[in-house]
Amino acid sequence: MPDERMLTCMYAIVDYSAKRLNMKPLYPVTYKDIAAIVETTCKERLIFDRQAVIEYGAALDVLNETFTLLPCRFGTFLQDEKAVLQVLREHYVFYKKKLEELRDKQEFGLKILSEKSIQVHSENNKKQSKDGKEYLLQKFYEYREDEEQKQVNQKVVDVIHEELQKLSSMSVKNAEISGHVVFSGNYLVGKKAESFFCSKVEALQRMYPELKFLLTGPWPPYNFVAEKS
Amino acid sequence: MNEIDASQNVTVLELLDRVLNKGVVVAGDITISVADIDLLYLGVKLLLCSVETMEQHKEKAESVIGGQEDA
Repeated sequence: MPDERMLTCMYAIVDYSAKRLNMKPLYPVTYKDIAAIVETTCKERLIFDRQAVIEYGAALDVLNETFTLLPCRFGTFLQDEKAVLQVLREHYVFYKKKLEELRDKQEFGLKILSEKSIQVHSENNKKQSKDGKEYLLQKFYEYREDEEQKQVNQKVVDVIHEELQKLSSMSVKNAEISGHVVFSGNYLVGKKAESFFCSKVEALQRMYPELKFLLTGPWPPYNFVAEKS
Repeated sequence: MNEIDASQNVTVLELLDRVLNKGVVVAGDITISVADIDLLYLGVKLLLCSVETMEQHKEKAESVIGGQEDA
């Protein structure tokens, strides 16, 4: 019987055919040529706060420098190593296929903000009309301006996304965009093409100075490990 | 807030979003065997995620825990 107070936290599933792990207290649970990188923790000592999440992400970043990996979602706790082995055995084919797809590739995230729409709103807010009819008219004009701006932004971000897709082996567009964020997407980029990808984003930023580009990465491929990605 | 601070904040938010919402999800029947961990996990979700996302996770966890109690 395993000690009920101990839990095994899974960090990532890695290709364990070529390199070995030296990152205590993390250790590998191996199955064939893959391994789950895990840590055994006392249940009572678990802390779930912002710092714990950041440290978990930092550990994945370090692992990502050495291994091709599938990052596990924060909070993946199994009862013991036997349960970890069972997961590896049951999903071996899928994990292996994914690891092959992701070999020598990393993720970049891009968010594009429309500064123009920010300006439109702040200018309109200054007007502060008090008459009810004027107020409604102002709101209507704001809405119309917003819609026109959205259409313009959409055309531009479609062009940008298309350009960046050419430099990546996979990409995902996030459906949830709000506020001034007019585009949010992730790109899987080969390690050798990383600097070219970044310079392309910089070039696009220069081409569209009215937009603000927020590029982050390289990340472990968080957005490319789901079954349907 | 200067540009470097803003950029660091964006990076932290991006990290939190990825670590909490993306990545491999190990299918249920093994992880849920420690049901109270799901509840602990909800704690951090409450702290860091939007209410809407939280509600989705809560519903999932409740159905999982409910399923366990039924079993």
